[in-house]
Amino acid sequence: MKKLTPLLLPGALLLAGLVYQYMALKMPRGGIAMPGPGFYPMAVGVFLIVTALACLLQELRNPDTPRQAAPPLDEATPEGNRVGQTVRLTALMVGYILALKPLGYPVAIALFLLVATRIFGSKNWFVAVIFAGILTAASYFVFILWLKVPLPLGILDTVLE
Amino acid sequence: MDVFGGLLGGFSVALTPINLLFGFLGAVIGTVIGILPGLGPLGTMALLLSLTYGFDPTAGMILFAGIYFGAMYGGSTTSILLNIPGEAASVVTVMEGYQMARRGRAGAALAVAAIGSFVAGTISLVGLSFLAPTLARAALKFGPAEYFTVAFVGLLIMTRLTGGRLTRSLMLIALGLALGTVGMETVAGYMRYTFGQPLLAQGIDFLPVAMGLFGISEVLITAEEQHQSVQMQKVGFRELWPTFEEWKRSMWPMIRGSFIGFFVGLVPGPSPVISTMVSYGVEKKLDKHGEFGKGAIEGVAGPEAANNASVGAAYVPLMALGIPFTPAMAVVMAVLLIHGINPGPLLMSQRPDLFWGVIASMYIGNFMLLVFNLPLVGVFASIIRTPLFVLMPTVMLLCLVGVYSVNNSMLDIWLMIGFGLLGYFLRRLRYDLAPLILAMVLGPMMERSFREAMMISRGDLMVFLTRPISATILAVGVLAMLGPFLFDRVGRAFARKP
Amino acid sequence: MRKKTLLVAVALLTALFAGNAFCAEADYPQKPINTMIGFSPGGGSDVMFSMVRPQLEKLLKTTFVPIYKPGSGSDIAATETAMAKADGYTVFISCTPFIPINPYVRQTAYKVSDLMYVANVVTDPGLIVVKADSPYKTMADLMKAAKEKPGAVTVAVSAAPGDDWFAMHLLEASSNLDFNVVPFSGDGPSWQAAVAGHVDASSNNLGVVYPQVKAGGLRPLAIMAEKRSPYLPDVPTFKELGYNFTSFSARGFAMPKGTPKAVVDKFAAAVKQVMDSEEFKANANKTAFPADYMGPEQYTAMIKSLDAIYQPLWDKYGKAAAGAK
Repeated sequence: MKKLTPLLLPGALLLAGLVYQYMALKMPRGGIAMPGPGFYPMAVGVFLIVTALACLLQELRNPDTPRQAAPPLDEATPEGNRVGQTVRLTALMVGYILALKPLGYPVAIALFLLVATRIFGSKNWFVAVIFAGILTAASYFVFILWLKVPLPLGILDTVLE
Repeated sequence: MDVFGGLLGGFSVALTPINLLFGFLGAVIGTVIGILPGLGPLGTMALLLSLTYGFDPTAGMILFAGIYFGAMYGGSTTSILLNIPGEAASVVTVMEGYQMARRGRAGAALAVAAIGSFVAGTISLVGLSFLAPTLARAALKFGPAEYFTVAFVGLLIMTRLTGGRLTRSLMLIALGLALGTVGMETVAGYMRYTFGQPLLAQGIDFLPVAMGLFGISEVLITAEEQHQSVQMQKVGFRELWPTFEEWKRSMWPMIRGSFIGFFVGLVPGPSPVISTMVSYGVEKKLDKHGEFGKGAIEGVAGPEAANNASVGAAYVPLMALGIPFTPAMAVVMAVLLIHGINPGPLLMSQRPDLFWGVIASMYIGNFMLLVFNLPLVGVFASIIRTPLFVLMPTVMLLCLVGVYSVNNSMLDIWLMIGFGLLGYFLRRLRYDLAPLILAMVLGPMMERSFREAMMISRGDLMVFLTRPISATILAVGVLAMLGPFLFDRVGRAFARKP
Repeated sequence: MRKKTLLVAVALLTALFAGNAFCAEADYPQKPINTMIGFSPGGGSDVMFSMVRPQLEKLLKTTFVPIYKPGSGSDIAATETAMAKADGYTVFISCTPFIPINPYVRQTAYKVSDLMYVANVVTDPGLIVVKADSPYKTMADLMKAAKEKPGAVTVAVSAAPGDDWFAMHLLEASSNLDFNVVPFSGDGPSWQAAVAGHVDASSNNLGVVYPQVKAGGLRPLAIMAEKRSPYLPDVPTFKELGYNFTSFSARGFAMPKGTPKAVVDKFAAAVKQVMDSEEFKANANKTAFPADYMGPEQYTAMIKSLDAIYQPLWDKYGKAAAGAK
């Protein structure tokens, strides 16, 4: 499994490149004097397929030789524990988006902050509640009242307007 | 001589209490919106536009100049501290700046960015005061063919920008270019890769991708590693400032970056982004410390200066010829229009009070921003000391709200999360993210200018080689790519001979 | 304490709902009005909005919240307006020819009839401009060049389909000549390409290029209006020159279908009052803002009439430009 992961991305991009190219070929291409909407995507598609293929081959022939790792990653933490955090946080963000329209920004973000604080290791509920409350109020003032970002207010619509 | 006279007159306008107040207000607002990811100077100025109707046009212009410059000062803060580039030109700052922050040198990076911005702002203002009409006319020589070559050479430079394998960065560049084609193409309104989603018609915006790839992925990775000690290094307050050694190392990059930023930034379209890449490339080449990729201070000082110098450069065509090359400049021009002032080549002679007043106030504003930002360096740098369970949820809130505030679009939040996961996987696999996002920004400009150039020339590909500026840019690009390689070969050949 | 808050909230809610049910129309507006703008800040719709906004806010005793949804020739903003509550708190800056031609040209999520056309503010006539030191001194020079070398004279337009693009094809149709029409991304880039000399001419609008004309960077050749413009009295109309067409870009306010008539009328009356004021007129004069008030009926009729002009043109020229054969 570990060995396959570096192949995953070039592989996926090769597939994506083929689909991309297929769609590009269906677009009107025009000529060089009047390049149509499909002209440039076609070139990009070829480029994507070729580079993904090259990357795949290189990855197969001589696997990762990191000259410079972007961020220094620590390999010590057990895999399950790590991925668990990412899954939890992603689910939390998705939950926030789904709650935004019906519940409105203040309620949704307060709940979001409450859970996020816990995920990031706050042991104390009291602290979490205070923090979520302060940040919700502050962001409400800055973004909605001051910068006039039209965030949905949901159930609080009529009260806050 | 009349430039000095003009400036003197300008300072007498700019130093009136009311205009000073507007300059200060603009600087404060600009810094704040620069720090908050999302709503940038463009959106803020548009929001305040009708407010300026009530003021004197000079005051309105001063307010907007303060916001514009301030946003650039503030913009480096999130890039360095939180790994979130607020605009395309900050992507390069993130590369070294955030690594410095991880090493405990956040304060040094922020201070150098602020001073670099000041130096660059001053240099570009001097350029604006003395050379505006000449430079603006030179900038006009750049047509679609030149924009294309600038963007194309930019892509070439990008393959060498980061470390790692060439095939990998090429593949991510291809992916970035492909993502850049999503949406309604601009010539005939044809929908590409929108899968029937009307919201995708305007294309994938820069911010959801940048915040996702850099910001959200950083949050995810931090969450996984929070139980270890690899978090941000804790620093004492005394170490917040750059050391003498760091000052010395960043001085020349600042000056070089300012000139690169000003001259490259004069040309609209892809240029401001590319000026930061060029500056980074130059510093990397001249580097003697081998720290690039791990938090080299030169890699912050140079690109940040280049970024800020291009702000002053953007004002050149507007003030000298009345041509707003960027949307932000179009809003600045609207301040004049709603007061019935027609900006153009005659502005300087017809309304010298306004012309020089605004320029003088930019000098003052730039100084104000420095004074205002330096003490903040300490405050911001100590943000990293706050416990993770406070810092990370706050960062996520800023991303979630900030990304929505740009287009008021729910789709953008989804995109941000999607790109957050992509960024997470890419970083786990040790890919560099910068080529992906920069290609996404440059791609549409490249396509547009290519099509315009081809339509104007009726399909003659030779325009790129027969137009002198375009040919020069291409030659420089090819040389920069092959140069080191060739020199190496030649050098070795000579070494072998005797 | 909590009980009290709850009571207040309930009282407020009842008051608000009651207010909505009984006297919403008479008391309009009671809260900020969201303004959907389909183009980037600084564009034509933004300038038009900024011209009327300060006084309109004072008159209606409310504030406008501009919401920029640029892209797809204002389709995104139009779609959101069509889906919004029809209570007068969502207005849309409607620009011709995008409304009404967009739903004809491509599949859109809204229909032209999903919007109510409240008040037109500006009707900006088309104008052909060249660089100040261009060899083409008059429209006749430009036409002559087009006749000598068919398709070699490059003319920048803002977009396809935009009013400038339609205008060039109207000119081609009425003169039987062929130009090289190059769509740029917006009217700004279009005239900038002309100033810099990358194209021979730009088909644009009076209000957009007037500052540059006044400043001496561009020379106007002919205007696409019925009568000469008071701002440019020396510039002939195309009709005078024997090309029988006019073209313009009109911008005004629209609301979602089903907005109460009282609200529409109140808003339109306020726009009219602003545009009749001396303050507005003085400003409009200085920037050559071609103000042209139309009330709901007239504005709706104008939008309808455009279909007859634009649809055949799109069928003839547009499908080729889109590459769809």
